[in-house]
Amino acid sequence: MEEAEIDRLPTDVLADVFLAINSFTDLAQASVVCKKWKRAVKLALGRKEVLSFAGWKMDDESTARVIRRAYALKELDISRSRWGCQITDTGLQKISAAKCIGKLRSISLWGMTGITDQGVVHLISRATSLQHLNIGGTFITDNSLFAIASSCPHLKSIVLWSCRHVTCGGLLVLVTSCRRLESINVWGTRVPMDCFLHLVKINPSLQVKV
Amino acid sequence: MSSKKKVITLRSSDGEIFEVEEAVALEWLTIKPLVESGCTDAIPLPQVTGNILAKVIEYCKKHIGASESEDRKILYELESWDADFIKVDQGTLFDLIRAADYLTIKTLFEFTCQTVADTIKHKTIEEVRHIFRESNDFTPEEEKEIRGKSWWLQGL
Repeated sequence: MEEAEIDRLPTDVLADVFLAINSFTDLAQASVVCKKWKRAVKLALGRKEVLSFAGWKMDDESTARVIRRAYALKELDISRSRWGCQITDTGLQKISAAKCIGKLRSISLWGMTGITDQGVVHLISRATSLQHLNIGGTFITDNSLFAIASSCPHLKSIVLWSCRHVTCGGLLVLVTSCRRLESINVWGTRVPMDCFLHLVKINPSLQVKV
Repeated sequence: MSSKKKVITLRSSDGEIFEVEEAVALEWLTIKPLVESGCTDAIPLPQVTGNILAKVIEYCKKHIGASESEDRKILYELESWDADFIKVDQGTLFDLIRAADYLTIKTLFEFTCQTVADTIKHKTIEEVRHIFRESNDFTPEEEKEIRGKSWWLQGL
C-alpha cells in the first residue's frame, strides 16, 4: 500500500487540522482511524475552545474525562442529542471539577432531563465567567436561579425555555443580581405575565422572550 | 520613499527564485523580521519547494487586502476563487498546510486545515481511512473495543 500523504503532517499539525472540526462525533471518529490520529485528537482537545456533544451518546464519566482534557474550553454544549445525553447530577459534579469551568463563557444544558438543581448548582457555582446559559427543557427550580444569580455576574443571556418549575421569585432575584443580563427566554414557563413587567422595570433594556 | 513597490526575493528548496511584493512577505510571520530588517539577498526557504511556493504566493497575492474587504461581491468572488484554488491533490494540500505552518501564514493555514476538516465531516471511520489511505494500526482486540463506542475515550 502506498504511503498515506497525510502522514506528511506531523502530529502537532494534524492536531491543528482536527481543531477545525466542530462536531464531537467527527472528532471521536477521527480518533479511531489510527494511533497517530488518536494522539492528534488528544492534542486538539487541549486546544479546543468550543465543544459540542450534540449527536453523541455520552455518559457522566466519559463526558467529564473529555472536559478535563479541554484546558482551553470557552463554550460547552452538552445539550440533549439525537440519542440523548445520559448526563446526571453526578456527571455535572464531575465536570465542575475541570479546570476550564471557571473560564467558560457559554454552557448549554438544553433538554437534559436527567439533571436537577443539585448538579446545576454545583456546576454553576464554579462557572463564574459565564455569559450565556441555555438550561431550557430541564426540571430546575428557583434554587438553580439563585445559584446563577450569586455566581454569574457576567451573564448576558439565559434560556429557561419550558422550565416549568421556575417561579417569578427566582426570576426577580436573577434579574436583580445579574445586571448585565440582556436577554431572557421564558417561553413555556408557568410564570405569569405581570412578572415579566417587573423584570423589565428592574432592567429596562432586558429583552424578555415569551 | 519611492513610489515603486518594494520587492522581496525568495528561494525555494529546489533553487527556484520568486519575487513578491514586500506587503505580501510581511504577512508571513516567519520571514517578517528578515523583511523588516531590509534584507536584500534572496531569502532561502529550505522547507518549501518551488511549485508549492508558487501556490502560496498566488494565494497570498489574491488575499492581500481582499480578506478584510466588506464588499460582499468581493468576498463572494474570493470565496469562489478559494474553492477553485484548493481543488488540488492530497499531496499538494498537505504540502500547503506544512508550508503555511512553516511560514506562519495564518489565513492560508486556517483555510487549508478547514478544507481537510470538512473532508472528514459526516464520514464513517472506514470512509475516512479510505480517503486518506490511513491504515488501521490498532490490534484486533483494540479494534473490537473501538466498536464499543466509548473506547476512544479511554486513552484520553
